Amino acid sequence: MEPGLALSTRYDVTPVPFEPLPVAIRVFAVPSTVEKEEREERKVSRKRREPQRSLVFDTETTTDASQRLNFGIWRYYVDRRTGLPGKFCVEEGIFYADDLPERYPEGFAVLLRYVETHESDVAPGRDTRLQFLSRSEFVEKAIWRKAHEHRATVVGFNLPFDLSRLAISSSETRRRKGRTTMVGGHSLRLFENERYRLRVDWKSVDSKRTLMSFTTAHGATDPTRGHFLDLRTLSFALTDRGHSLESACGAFGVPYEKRPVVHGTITEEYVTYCREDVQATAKLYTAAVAEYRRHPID
Amino acid sequence: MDPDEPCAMCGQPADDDHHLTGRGSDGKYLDPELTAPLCHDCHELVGDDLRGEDLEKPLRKVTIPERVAHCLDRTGVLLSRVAEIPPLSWIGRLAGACHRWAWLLWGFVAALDAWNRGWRSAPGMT
Repeated sequence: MEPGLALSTRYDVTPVPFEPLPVAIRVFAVPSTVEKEEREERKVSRKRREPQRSLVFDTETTTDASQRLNFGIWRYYVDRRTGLPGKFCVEEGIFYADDLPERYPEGFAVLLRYVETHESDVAPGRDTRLQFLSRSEFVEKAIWRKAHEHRATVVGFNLPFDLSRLAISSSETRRRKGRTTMVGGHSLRLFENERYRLRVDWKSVDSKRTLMSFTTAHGATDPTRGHFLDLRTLSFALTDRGHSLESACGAFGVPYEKRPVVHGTITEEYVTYCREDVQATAKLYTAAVAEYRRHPID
Repeated sequence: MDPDEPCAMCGQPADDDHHLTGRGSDGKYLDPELTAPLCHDCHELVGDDLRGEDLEKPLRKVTIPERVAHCLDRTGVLLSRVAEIPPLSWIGRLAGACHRWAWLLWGFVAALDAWNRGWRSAPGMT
């Protein structure tokens, strides 16, 4: 087709001959915001999002004034980031005091028998063997690996008491790198070899509140203060009432009734009691976090 | 991956193909076609589970029963998550069965080792 004839053929007008001229247009192009937002959104969603990990544990002790550790139960949860924590249990186990086999061999034998004859209560398809660790192994595999390295939240009811049962010694906290928050509290030594391991500092603010944090391990490249959740504090904060585990479960709609046991003597029933306590603690954790999320604070 | 296929775990649009049985010692997938569509977050979650169970690293050169046990363990881990939302109890039981079958094989391997370690180098074992 000749230049200039296109209009005439389409609209039936008298053709006006013209010479085609090269035209240049300068524009300022604004990128489509929708596309950009989509791209950004995609970028955010591709970021590594750690699941929520929680280590729930409880200890049982001697009934004398020292209240030394006899044994404890832990449950380890790995939940999706978008849901509630304390739902998908991947591991359950028993830990015992390092000196229990010598100090209380009958109790240790009960624990051994219990592990051999009972299965763990974990999510379907997970290892149903109850793990069995000494205190030293527990602090290494659970407190160090899970709570410190994998940033799991350490959960308990009256957590400072349970954490202090894991300690092999304690001292007064000191000022660390200019931070004075923990001064006047207690520094719990958990590991025999402290060179590349840490301590747990805790300081009581009042009867309901306690500050807790990891100290910085020697040579740590990525130090963390850790995540500690005392459900006694959280249930008080949410209800304005001091609770025992049983009453807190009642307040948050978690059915739980402690079975009557004789404390201090390790029996099969006593171990089951402790397991139920930890299960109830985990359910309370889920319920309390659900309640907490109903009151978002920006 | 079929772009319209939803995530096998949460039903969101899938982003990745998860290889159920992982990689062998040569770095290649043991079963390249055996994949499950997963969204990015669920893939991360399963990866995390596999790391937690020490099943994420490529399988070193092992015997056939060990390889099958490893594949069963990995499949069990995925299935246990698939059974989570919505709760699918039969898939949970299947996940448990995968682990049990794997334990049987690991036990079998341990028994063979105790009997005669030479079985590993016998023809047709790897």
